[in-house]
Amino acid sequence: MNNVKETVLNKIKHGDVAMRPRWHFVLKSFLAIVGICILTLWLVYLVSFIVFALATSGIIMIPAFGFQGLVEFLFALPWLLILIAAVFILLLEVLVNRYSFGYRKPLMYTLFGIVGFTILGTFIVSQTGLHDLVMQRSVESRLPIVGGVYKGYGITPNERINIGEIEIINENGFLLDERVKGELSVIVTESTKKPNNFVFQVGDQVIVYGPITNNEIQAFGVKPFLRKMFRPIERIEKKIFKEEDELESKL
Amino acid sequence: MQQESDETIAIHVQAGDSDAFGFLIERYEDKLKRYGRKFLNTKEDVEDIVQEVFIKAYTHIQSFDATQRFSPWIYRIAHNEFVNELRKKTRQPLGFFDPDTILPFVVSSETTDGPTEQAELKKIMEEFLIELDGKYREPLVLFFYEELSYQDIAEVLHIPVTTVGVRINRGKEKLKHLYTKKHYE
Repeated sequence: MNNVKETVLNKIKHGDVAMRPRWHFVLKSFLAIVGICILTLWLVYLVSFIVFALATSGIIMIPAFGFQGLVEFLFALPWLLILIAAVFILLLEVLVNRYSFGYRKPLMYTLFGIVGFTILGTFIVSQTGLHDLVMQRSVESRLPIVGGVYKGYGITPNERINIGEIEIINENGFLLDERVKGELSVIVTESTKKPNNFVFQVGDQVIVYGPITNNEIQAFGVKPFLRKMFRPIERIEKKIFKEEDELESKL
Repeated sequence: MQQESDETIAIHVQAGDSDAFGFLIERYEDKLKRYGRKFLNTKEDVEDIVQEVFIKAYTHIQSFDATQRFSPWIYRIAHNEFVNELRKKTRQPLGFFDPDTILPFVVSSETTDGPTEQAELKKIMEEFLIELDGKYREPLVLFFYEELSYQDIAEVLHIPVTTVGVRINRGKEKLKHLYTKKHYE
């Protein structure tokens, strides 16, 4: 008997080396698959939330307002969330490449697979209205931690992005009931970018891009805001009180 | 037992026949030692590392799927042990993604070199293998010395089969370049 064979078999016989049971490997594989599933679900949730937050906050619409809008868009992107999503993708890539279905294919294919699945998952989640529901609960202050994140990314005011409802149309533009900032006067000029044949009407939900000075927005651009508009609970209450006062004074 | 395939012997070991493991050691000890010496490029005895490979193989034998081939499975364990040893010696950082594994390559068929060319290449390898990067050295050793197929090498190294072809071809080119540089310049 040679040295290696003798040593290894002796170690086995004396119990210094023990065979790990099959369930150990089954459990390990099971946990790895559960890990991949959980990571994938988190990734889909995170990416769908990023898309939702960009749409709800109006950030996704501002590149349409020209070069300034594009620069603002790049600065306003939720880079931290995007970085976390990238880390999740990287982790998934590493996990998937531990299995033959992963490492047998070039990394680009598995990466496309992960990204493709994430896009599909994001589309499905957006169709369920899950984020709208959580956001609704958040603005009603019923979700302490998650609510903060949703409000933080979805409706925290940006200096130049204003979303609200047209209250009064006047000769300079219109009066906007901004969802967070309150009433603001919007100055619309010939240089203001807006969709062709777009006529403002009272009650329209719009996004106005431009700087605010003394409660006046110099509008660089105006577009209809076609998504559901979320207001913080304080603003909803304020609006209800105002409408009640107006009704009382009419009566 | 000696007539039986590696996979059948592995099934015996899985069922608790630890003596059967001795047959697997007999079949793979020299191969793994040669692979270790070539890959690690050391004249030192790789016996301790190979012993560790067999101990790992025994402790993990229940994870071996007997419907697959045993040879790539044990070479994979050896690869991991040798890579760890190489990292200890050279302090190389962990390389998660190699550029060769990112893009798809055209499937390259296994080498069509004739016996004379292969013998000549082996001679060049003996002289210049030491100068090659590990990522080219390892598939060359597995293909020319251990006579593993591209498919098996892909399983050992956990890379696409097309990447195996690319690395072997590039490795051969680099060897020829080194040979020409030394003998004709």
